Amino acid sequence: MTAPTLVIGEPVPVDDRAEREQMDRVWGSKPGFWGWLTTTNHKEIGKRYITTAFIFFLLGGIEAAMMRTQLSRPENSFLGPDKYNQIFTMHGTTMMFLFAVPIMEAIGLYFVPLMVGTRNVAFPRLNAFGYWLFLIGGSFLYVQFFLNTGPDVGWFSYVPLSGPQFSPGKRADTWAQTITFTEIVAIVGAIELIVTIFKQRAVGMSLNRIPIFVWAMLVTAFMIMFAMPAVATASMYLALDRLVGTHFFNPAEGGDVLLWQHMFWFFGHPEVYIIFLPATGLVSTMLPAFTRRPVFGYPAMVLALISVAFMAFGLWVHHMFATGIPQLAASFFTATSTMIAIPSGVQIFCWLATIWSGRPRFATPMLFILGFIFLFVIGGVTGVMIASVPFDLQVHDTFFIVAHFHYVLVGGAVFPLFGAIYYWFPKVTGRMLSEKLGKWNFWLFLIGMNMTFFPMHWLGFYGMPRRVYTYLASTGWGPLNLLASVGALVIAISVIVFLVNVVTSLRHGEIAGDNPWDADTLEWATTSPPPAYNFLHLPVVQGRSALWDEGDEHQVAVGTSTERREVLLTTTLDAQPDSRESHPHDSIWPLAMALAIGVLFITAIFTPLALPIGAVLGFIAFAGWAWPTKEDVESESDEKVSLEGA
Amino acid sequence: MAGALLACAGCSLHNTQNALDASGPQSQRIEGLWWLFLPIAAVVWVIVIAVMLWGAARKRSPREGMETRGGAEVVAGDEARDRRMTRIVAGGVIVTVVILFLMLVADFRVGQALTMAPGTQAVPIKVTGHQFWWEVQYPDSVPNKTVITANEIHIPVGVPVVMELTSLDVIHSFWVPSLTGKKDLLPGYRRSLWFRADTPGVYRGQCAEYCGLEHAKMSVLVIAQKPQDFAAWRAAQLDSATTPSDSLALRGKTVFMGTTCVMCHSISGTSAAATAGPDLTHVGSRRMIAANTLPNTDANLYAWISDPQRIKPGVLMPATKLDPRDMQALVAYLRHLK
Amino acid sequence: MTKRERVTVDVTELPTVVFGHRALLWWGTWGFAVAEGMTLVLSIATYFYLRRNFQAYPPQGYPRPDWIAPTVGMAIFLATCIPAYLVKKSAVRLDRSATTRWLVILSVCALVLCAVRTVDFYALRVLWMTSAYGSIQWVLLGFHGSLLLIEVAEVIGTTALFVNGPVLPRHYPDACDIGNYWYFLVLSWLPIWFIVYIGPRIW
Repeated sequence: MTAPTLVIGEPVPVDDRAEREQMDRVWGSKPGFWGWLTTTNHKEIGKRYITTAFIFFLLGGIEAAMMRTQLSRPENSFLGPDKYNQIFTMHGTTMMFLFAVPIMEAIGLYFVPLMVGTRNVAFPRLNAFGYWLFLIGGSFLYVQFFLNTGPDVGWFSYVPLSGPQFSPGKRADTWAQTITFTEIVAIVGAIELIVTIFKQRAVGMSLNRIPIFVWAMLVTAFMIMFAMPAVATASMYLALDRLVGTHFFNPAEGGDVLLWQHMFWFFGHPEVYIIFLPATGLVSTMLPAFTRRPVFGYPAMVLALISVAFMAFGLWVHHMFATGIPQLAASFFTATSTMIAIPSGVQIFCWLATIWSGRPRFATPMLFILGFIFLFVIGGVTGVMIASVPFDLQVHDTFFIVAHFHYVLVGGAVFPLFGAIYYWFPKVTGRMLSEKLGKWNFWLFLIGMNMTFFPMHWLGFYGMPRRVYTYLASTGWGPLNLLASVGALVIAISVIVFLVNVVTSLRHGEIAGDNPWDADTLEWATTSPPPAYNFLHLPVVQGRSALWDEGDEHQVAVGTSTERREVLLTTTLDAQPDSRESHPHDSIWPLAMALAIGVLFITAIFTPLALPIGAVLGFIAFAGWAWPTKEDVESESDEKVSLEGA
Repeated sequence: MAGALLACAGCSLHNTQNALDASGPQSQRIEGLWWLFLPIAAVVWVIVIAVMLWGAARKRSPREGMETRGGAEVVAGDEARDRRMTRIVAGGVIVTVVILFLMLVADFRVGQALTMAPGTQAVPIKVTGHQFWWEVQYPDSVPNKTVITANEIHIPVGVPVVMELTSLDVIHSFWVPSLTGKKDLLPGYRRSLWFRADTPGVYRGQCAEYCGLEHAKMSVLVIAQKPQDFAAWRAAQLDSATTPSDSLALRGKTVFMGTTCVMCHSISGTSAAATAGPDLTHVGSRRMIAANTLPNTDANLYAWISDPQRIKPGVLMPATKLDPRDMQALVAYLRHLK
Repeated sequence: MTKRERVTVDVTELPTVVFGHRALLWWGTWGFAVAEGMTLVLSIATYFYLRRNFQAYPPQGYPRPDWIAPTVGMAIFLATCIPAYLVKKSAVRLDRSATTRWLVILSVCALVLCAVRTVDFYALRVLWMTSAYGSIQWVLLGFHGSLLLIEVAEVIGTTALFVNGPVLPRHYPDACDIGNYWYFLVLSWLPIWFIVYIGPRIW
C-alpha cells in the first residue's frame, strides 16, 4: 500500500502506517550484528556513546573509591605509591577525557537533531567513526592499565616528570596517545554539532528560537574546536620528546617546562567549561517542564553562554600562579577569573526567576536541578576565592582545590546529568524511571557529596597536598579523611541505587508515551523511543518553545524524498528552506577507518613504522568510505543541481 | 554549622602546619583574606539557596494563573511580572559585580603587600628540589662559609628570609602553610620566595607539586629560632665533621667510607664528597630523617639504611646490606655527626 | 494529546545538490581547517615562546636556514592555487572533462609539493634533536606536511574517481571543497614559511 500524497494546506491523514513502514525501510539500520556494526543512526550511536561514557564513569568511580579507601587512615597499606599514582592518574584521565566531555557531546548528538527537527546529524558516517575511535582509545588506555603500563603522572602529566628522563617505559606514551584519540573524537563531535545546528534546523527555527540547550551545545562545540588542539599539540610534543628525542621540554637544550603548563591549561581551563556549559544547557532544558514556563531571560542566557565561552580562554594562567608568573600578568588573570563569575551569576539569577515565577513540580529531575544550584554555588564561591593569587598560593595543589573542582564538576555537571537521565530516559527507552528510587538516588548523592568534599576545604588549609598516597598520623589529617571516605561510600551507594533503577525500569518501568513531562521542545513531538527517521513529517516551528508556541495544530513540512535518505537544509540565520541533501547509506567504512587510525596511534608509541603502515590502512579505509557504491549510484543519479551561491 | 565544627576539629590538632594558624606576616595576610572571603561566600550562598527554596516552595496565589498553550498547561505570561523580575535580576547582577570588585580590591592589596621587597637584612637561602629531598644552602660572600644541609631549614625569628628556588630534576613546590604561600621549584628556572616567621617554633611543610613515587613523603621542617640561637646553629653547621673518639662510631666511619654511602653522600672533613644525596655532615643534629618521614633515632636509621624501599618505596636510595654489627657502628657514626 | 498535523511547507521543488556554504561538506571542510589551523597557530606561538630561552635564534653555532630554495618552494605553493581555482571553476560548470583535467594537474602539483616539502626540510640545516630550536622547526614543517599528505591522498582519490569512477552530481561541490582546502593549505604555509626561513634574517 503506497503512502498517500501530502498536499500543502491540508491536514495530514491520521492513518500513517504505510508511510511509517516506508520511512523505516529507508532510514532503518540493517538487522543483526552487521547492522550493529554499520549503523549511522545518531540515536543508536548516541546511546552507545552515552552507555560507554557512563561505564567509564563507573570505572572512574571505582578508582575514586580505591583512593578514598587508601586515604581513610594514615599510613594505610591498601595501595602502595605506584598503584596509587596510577589510580589517581586513571581517575582524572577517565573522568575528564573518557566520561565528562564524551557524555555531554553524546547527549548532544542524540538530542540536538531531535530538538532542531531533523532526521540525523550532518555527517552520519563521521559520527559512527567518532564513536568507534572513542571506544578504541578508551579501551587502549584500560588495556594498558591492566597490563601495568597505565599512566602514572597525573591527568595533567607535567613535564619533566612525564618526560623521557623521569618516566621510562610506555606509561606516559599511553597517556599521550589517549589524549590524541579523545581529542579527535571531541573535534569530530563538535563539527557534527555545529554543522547540524547551523544547516539542518526545522523551518521557522531561526537562531533566536533555538532551545537554550542547543545554544549551549553550539557554544561548547566552538570551544572544543579551539581548545582541544592545544592539548593535542602539547601531547604531540611530549610524545616526540619521549620517542624521537626532540627537546620541547628539556631546559638543557632550550626547551621549557612551563611550555607544557601553558599549552595544557590553555586547553584545560576551557575544558571545564566544555563540561559545564552543556550541563547548564541541560538545566535550561528541564526547567520549563518542571516550572511550567520557559526559562526567564532567553537573550541574557544566550549572551551568558557566549561570554563564558570567550572568557574561558582568558583564564588559564590561574593554574600556574605558583610558578612565579610576573605580578602584572598574574593580576590580569585574577581579574578575568573573577569576571567569569558574572555570566554564571546571570544564569543562576535567571533560573531562580524561572523557579520563582513558575509552578514547580518536584519530580526527580527537578530535585537534581535544585541540588545542582546548592552545590554549584559552593564551588563557584570557592572559585572566586582561588582567583586571588595570594589565596591560591596557600591552597593551590591542596585538597581545597580538590574540594572546589568536585563541587563545580560533580555538583555543576554530574547533577544536571543525572537529572537529564531521569528526564530523557522515557524518551530514549519508552519507560519511566522509578520516582521512589530516584529520590533515594538524589538524597544519597547530595549527602554523600557534601560528606566527601566539604571536609577537604579544611584539609587543604591544614597542609594536605594533592596526589599523596598516604600521610603521617602526626599530621592529624586522619579524622577528616575518614569522614570523606565514608562520604564516598554514600556516593557509591547512591550510584548503585541509580543502576538498580535503570535495570529494573528498563523492564518494568511505567510506559512513558510521547511527552510524559508535557515539555516544550521538539523531541517530545515524536514517539518514545523515536523512530529511526525521528519525525514522520518534519516540523515547522513558530516560537522558542516549539510545542507551546504552536497552538492547537502541529505544522509540518513535506517534500523530502521517501525513497532515499534525505534531510532538509535551511538557511543559517532564518531557517528558511534552502535545499535537500541526500544522506549516506549505512557503511562499515567508519569502523574500518577507526581501526586504521587506532592501529596508527597505538603502534606509533612502539615504532615509527606505524606511520607508513597507518597511512596505507587509512588510505584504504578512506577510499572505501568515499567511493560511491552501487546503492549510491542508484539513489543519486537524478539530482536537481542549483548553482546559486556557488 | 558542620563546617565550623570541622574547622575546630582540625585547629587544635597541630598548629605547625596550618594556613589558618599563621605565624608570619605572609600567611597572616592570606589568612585575613580567608576570613573576609568566607563570610561573603556564606552570605551569598545562603541568600541564593533561600531564594531558590522559597521560590520553589512558596504558595502560589490564584492570581498566578495558568493557561493552555499548544495543548499544555503553562504559567500565564505576565509582562509586568517579567519587567519586575528583569529589574531584580539586573539588581542581582549589579550587587554581584560590586561584591566581586571589593574582593578583587582586597586581593590586590594583599598581593601588593606580599610582593614588596623584603629588605637588605634578609637571610638568603638556596633550596634545590630533588626526588624526594630538599637540598638547602646558606650562601655567603665567602665561599667556604656556605652552609650545606638538607631537609631541615633553620631561620631566625623576626628576620625576613629570601629563598632562591630551583630543581635539578622534576618540578617540586615548597610549601610551609603556617608561614607562607607556596612556590614551585622549576628545572631551568630560578624563583624567589621571601617570608618571615614571627614566633619561634617548628613548622612543617610538604612538597606540593606531584613529583613522582614518593611525593607524599617529601616534607620539610622550618625551625624558627631566636636570632642568637640561629647564629649559633649556623656557626656549628660550618664546622667539618670531627673524628669520633668512641670506638663504635669510629668503626662506623670506616664502614661509611668503605661502602656505597660515599657514592651519593658527602661529609665535610672526609673524602666523601658526592652530591647526589643529602649532605650528612650534621645529620645527627637533625630531628628527622628521610625528608622528615621518621624521627632521627638509632632504630629508624638502622631500618632506613638497611632498606629504604620499605619505608619510602621508589626513593632513589638503594638498600645497604651490612653485617648487623657494622650497621650498628654506622648508625653510631651518623648519630655522632651533630 | 496528539495534535492535528497540517502541511504548511512543501520543499519538493528545492534543489538536491548545492554549492558553497549551502552544502554540508563545505562546513565540514572548514571545520577541520579551523581545528588544524589552531594547531598551527599554537605551534607558531611555541616557536616564539621557546625563542625566549635563546640569546640568538638559531642558537650560536647553528647555521641559519637556507632561504632561497624554500622561497622558490613558496612560489610553487602559491602557483598551485591556479589549478585549484580551475578545478573549482570547472566543477561549478559541472564540466566533467575539464574538472578531471585540472584534478589530474592538481595531483601532479600535489606530488611536486611533496618534493618541495622535502627540500624545505633540508633547508632547515638542523635536525629535530638539535636543541629545542630544531625541534620546533621540524614540528612546524612536519605538522603542515602531514596536512599536505592527507590532502595529497584526497586529491589523488578524487582524481581517480573523476577519471574512471561513477561521478555523481554531489561530487562537483566536493571537488570545490578540495579547492577550498587547497587554499587553506597554501595560505597556512605562508606565515610558517615566513617565520621559519625569512624571520631569522630579519629579527
